[in-house]
Formats: sequence, structure tokens, C-alpha cells
Amino acid sequence: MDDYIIDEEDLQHGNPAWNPSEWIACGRDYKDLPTYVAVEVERTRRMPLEIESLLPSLLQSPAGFHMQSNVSAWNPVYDAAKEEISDLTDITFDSMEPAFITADLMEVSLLRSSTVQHLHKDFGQAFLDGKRSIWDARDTNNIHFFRLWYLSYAEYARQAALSWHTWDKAMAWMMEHHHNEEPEECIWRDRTFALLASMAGWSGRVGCGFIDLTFEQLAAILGDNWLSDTVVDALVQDISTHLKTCDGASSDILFADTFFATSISGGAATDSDHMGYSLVAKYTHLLTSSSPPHSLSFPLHSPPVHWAGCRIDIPKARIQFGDSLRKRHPKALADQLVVWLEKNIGLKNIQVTDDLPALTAVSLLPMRLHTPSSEMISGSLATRARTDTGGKLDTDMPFIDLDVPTDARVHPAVIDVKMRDVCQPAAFEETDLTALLKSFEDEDTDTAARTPSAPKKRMREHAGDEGVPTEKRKKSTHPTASTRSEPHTKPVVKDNLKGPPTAKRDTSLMAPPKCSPLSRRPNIPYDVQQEIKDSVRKGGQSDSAKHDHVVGILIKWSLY
Amino acid sequence: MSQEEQGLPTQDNDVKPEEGNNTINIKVVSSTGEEVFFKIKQSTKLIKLQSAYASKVGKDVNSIRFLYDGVRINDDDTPATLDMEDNDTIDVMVEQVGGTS
Repeated sequence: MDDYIIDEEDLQHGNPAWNPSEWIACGRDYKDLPTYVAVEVERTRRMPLEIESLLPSLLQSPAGFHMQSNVSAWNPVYDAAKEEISDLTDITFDSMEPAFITADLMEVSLLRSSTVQHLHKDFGQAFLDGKRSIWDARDTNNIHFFRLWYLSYAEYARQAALSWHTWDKAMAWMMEHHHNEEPEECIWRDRTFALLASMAGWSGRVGCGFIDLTFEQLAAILGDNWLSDTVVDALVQDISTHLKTCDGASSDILFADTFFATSISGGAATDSDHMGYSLVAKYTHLLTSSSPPHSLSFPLHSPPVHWAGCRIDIPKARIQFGDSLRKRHPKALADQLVVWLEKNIGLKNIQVTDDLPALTAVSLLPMRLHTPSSEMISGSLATRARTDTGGKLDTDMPFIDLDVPTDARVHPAVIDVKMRDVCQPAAFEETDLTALLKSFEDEDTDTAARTPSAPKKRMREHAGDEGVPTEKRKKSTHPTASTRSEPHTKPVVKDNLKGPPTAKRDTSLMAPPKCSPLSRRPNIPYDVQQEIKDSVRKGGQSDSAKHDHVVGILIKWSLY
Repeated sequence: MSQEEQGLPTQDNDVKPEEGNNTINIKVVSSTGEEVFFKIKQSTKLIKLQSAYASKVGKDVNSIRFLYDGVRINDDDTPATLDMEDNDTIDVMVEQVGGTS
């Protein structure tokens, strides 16, 4: 155990008592800096208004900042590059008189973070030594002698430029889908653009209860980016808030943050374990209250870089894991969860399964971050936007709609899963499971008897002959089975799903008089069928669990 | 080596809140069980504690999370605003980053 004590005095940087011989700043914060010195520091560092007006206001909206700012010339890669010796010798303080305010300040190459810090550290002492300008000789043909406020300018402009590239990436990702004219896409796009035009701020902390969330992290939602726990927790928080606000029944769902699973994995299952138990204790308290929630859902970090989900069904004493990569659940976490549930919540005979559909409202949380999460931006942030923009924003903000089918975008760094043939959405009841599997067996026989099929692309061209729909699947407005309380809506059986009147297909179609899964089943690709069969062959699952698993697979392949 | 053998004050015995000085002792515990003790004023912003801890463990302060009673600590929070008591614990978590398929 590493014990280390840090006193209050240690928290002060350097000498907390002002030392006149060190003059101002020098990278230290003096608790007793004389007023006249503080005023001089402020005066020296303050940018002239004409220069300040060149920089984007911190109250500007992300959309306005992106469109109107003139800070796009900065390459963020440069900031991460290793500092070169020339940076320290070409940019330094000098005793020359500074030049007049140059009009082309925006064309001067920005300073990298390390250089700015270096200058800040030396600023006070340089001033004391009579240095009156910052000498910038990076461009030997155009050497600058800036006034000392250039430090403030360089710091602000650098941050603005970095942030601009973040938002530029997000906006470009938004525009990629501009050709998509599906109603849901259009509605989402319009709302998101409106929100991005009305929020106040483009950098720094978002606030509004999202403690660590920054605007740059918010921009990361719009795109295929790695997402930190801060973003995932903010989304969970936002979803939880909206569920409580918009859906009274959903108060039965308790959401935990990303640290819950980490704490449980670390052994914080009981009070005696102590370490990290405080992170778990509040959920223990809520689940043992007089009116406990029916389920506890939480995002699950799967090292090194993956998010999955988990739901604990309290009445059924069942822990369901869901992973879009179809990984098995982490055993250590499952064991600790069982211990926690038995000792603290009083559950017995707890069942652990991997059948939580990966695109449900719970486990979809990470996945949805790859989709334009209007609910994330439109919730509490919209409240802020309304406040900051004088209430100009439309009050009918888009609240969370977990039932909207999502476009399962794939992060290229994780796995490249291509969407296969698109087709009409399927839906079947639990009792249809056997019939569905039976149809796969029939199709196997049918496939074996046929000659090898043409490539899928070519098949689609002759879809009318093959029974595959020719048009790209429209996003369903029906709720998915995995989402909340709304009942299933039977899909309309399209004529083009019936296919040619072959003997085998006729047999399958004529069987049940009612609407059977075969009659409304889409053309499910062979490999998806195999995956479903492999899943149900594993055994040990109830029909209900198998049904959920099949639904999960269909959702994953956009067939549901 | 124990704290007493090292000559360091232990949490229970030697490090007591100084009456009149309005300071409290706070233990910062990492997910691996490593502990760092702080003795700070009730009015000190916890961002200073976070920075000092990050510096002590050699990590970027933005890559670690500080939680008190399971809730993230804000930059402007102080022991007083969080109603922290003497010998309370702050949990430290490492940043988690991920994607999905």
C-alpha cells in the first residue's frame, strides 16, 4: 500500500507567498499577489479589442463557430507532434520594440501547446528583464515582434483551431447523410442542425449537470469516434432523465453509470470489501427501497476499446449481457454481480445469460452513440440553449425515441461488419421460433439442390425473380421488440416476399392458415440463418431466451 | 512497511482535523487500492487535489476520474460544498474509451 500525504501547502504551486524578485507569473500562483501587480499582469496580457474581435466568441453556437470562424488553417496533428529545438529558439522574448498590430495575425502559424506553456512560464521573468516583445522567427522571411498579449491570443486561437477541426469533422459526418431523404433522417438532421445553431458554446465544459462533458466530446457523438466514459455516462444520464420525464412507466428502469461495472469487477460487492463500494451503495439502496425498480441497466466497458451492455431483471433474477460483437460475458463480473445481488438485494437462483439483444434500449446505448443522437443534444442541452438564446428555440424538442431503428455504423478500428442483403423487417412471436428454424432446414435442402447462386449484387438486380426486394429497406416506424412497452405490430406481407411459385416455397407458404412466420419472414441470408441455428443449438436456453437471441441476431443484421 | 514504521501519521491516530483551522483529511483510493492522503481546507477547490494526485501518480488529470459517493467531482467543488467529513474517501477511476460494432 502506497501511503502519501499531501498538505494544503503542497497544493500551492511553488512559493505561495509573493516574491517581488520573481515579479509576476513565472508559472506560479501567488495567493497574496498585490493588486497593482495583478492589474499590470492583466493589462499586459489583455488583447486589444480589434484583435479580440478576430477570434470567435465563446458564446457562439457550434454551427456559427464552424461557419464563421477563420481558424481552419491549423492542423491539429502539429500540436501533438514532438516539440523541436527550433520551437524554443525561434520563439522567445526579446528586447526589441514590438511591431504595430498586424492585420494578418490570423495568417501567422499558431503555437503548439508546449510552446505556449514554455512562454507562459518565462513570461514574468522576461518582463522583469525588460523584454518587451515576443520574437517569432519561424518564418525567416517574415520575422514578427509581437506585443506580449500575443500569448493570450496564441492560447485562445490554438484552442479555437483545435475545436474547429473537431466540429468540422462532426459537420462533415452530418453532411455525409444529406442525400438520405428518409423521413426520420430528415427530421433528425433538421433538429440536430437547429440545435447546433442554437447552443451557446463550442469549447470547454458543457455544464447543465454533465460534469466532465466538454463540447468537443459532444461533437464526438456525431461520427464514428471512440467514446469516453464521460460521453457514455452523459448519454445514460440524459436518457434516464427523459425516460422519467416522458414515460412514467419507465421509472421501473434504473440506470447505472460506467463505473458501476468497474466497481463490481473490482470487488466492491459488499460493504466489507469497502474499496469502491460507495460507487455501488446508492444502487443497493435504490434496489432495496420500498418501491424498487424492476431492472438495473448499465453500459459495460469491455477492454481494450469496446462498449457493451447489461440488464439485471430483478423480478426474474436474471442477468442479461448483450454485446454487438457477440462476445461471451465477462465471468469475473458476472460472478461478482451474483454475489452482490445475493448479499445485498436478496436474490436467489440468479440466471446469467448472453441473450440481451445488442440493439435494445439498454445495450444499444453505445451503439446509438454512433448514430446521430439527437436526444443527447436535444435534452438538457436544449434547455441550456433555450436559456442562452432567449427562448428562441422550438419548445417541441425531440425527446428520446428508443424505438427508432438505428443505422448500425461500424467503427473501422473494431470490426468491419458489412450489412448484407437488405429486406423487409421481420417479426415473429416466441411460438414461431420452431417454425422459423424449420424453414431454415427446408431452405438448406432447397439450396443444396440448386446450382450455386449468383453474386449477391447481381441477385439484387434480378430481385423480382429471386424473391428479394429490389428497393433498399426503408426504416421501420414500428417499435422493435427489444424496446419498451409498445406491442408488436405485424408487418404487412408484401407480394414480393412470396417469391416465385416453386414447389418448395408453395409448401412452406400454404402451411398455416394464420399469419405464420414463414409467410411474413423475409429472405434471410444464409449466413444469418447459420448464426441463428448455431445460437439455438447451444442449448441451455429457454424458448424465451432463444427467441430474444434470435431477435437480437435479426436486429444486428437489420432484418428485424 | 507500515505507516507508523515510515514515520508517517496514520489515518486514525495522528492525522486529526485541526480545530479552528478548518482542515480535513481525505483519502484518495485508486481502483488498485493505492491510497494517497490529503489534508486540505474545507474551502480548497478539489481541482487542486485532483491535479496534485495526477501529478503524484504521473498521469494526465483528464485521464482519470474522481468520484465522491459515486458521483463525479466537479472542478469547482470543495469539501464544504460536498459536505465531506473527516477521513472521507474519494475513489479514482481510469478513463474508459471504446466503440462498438
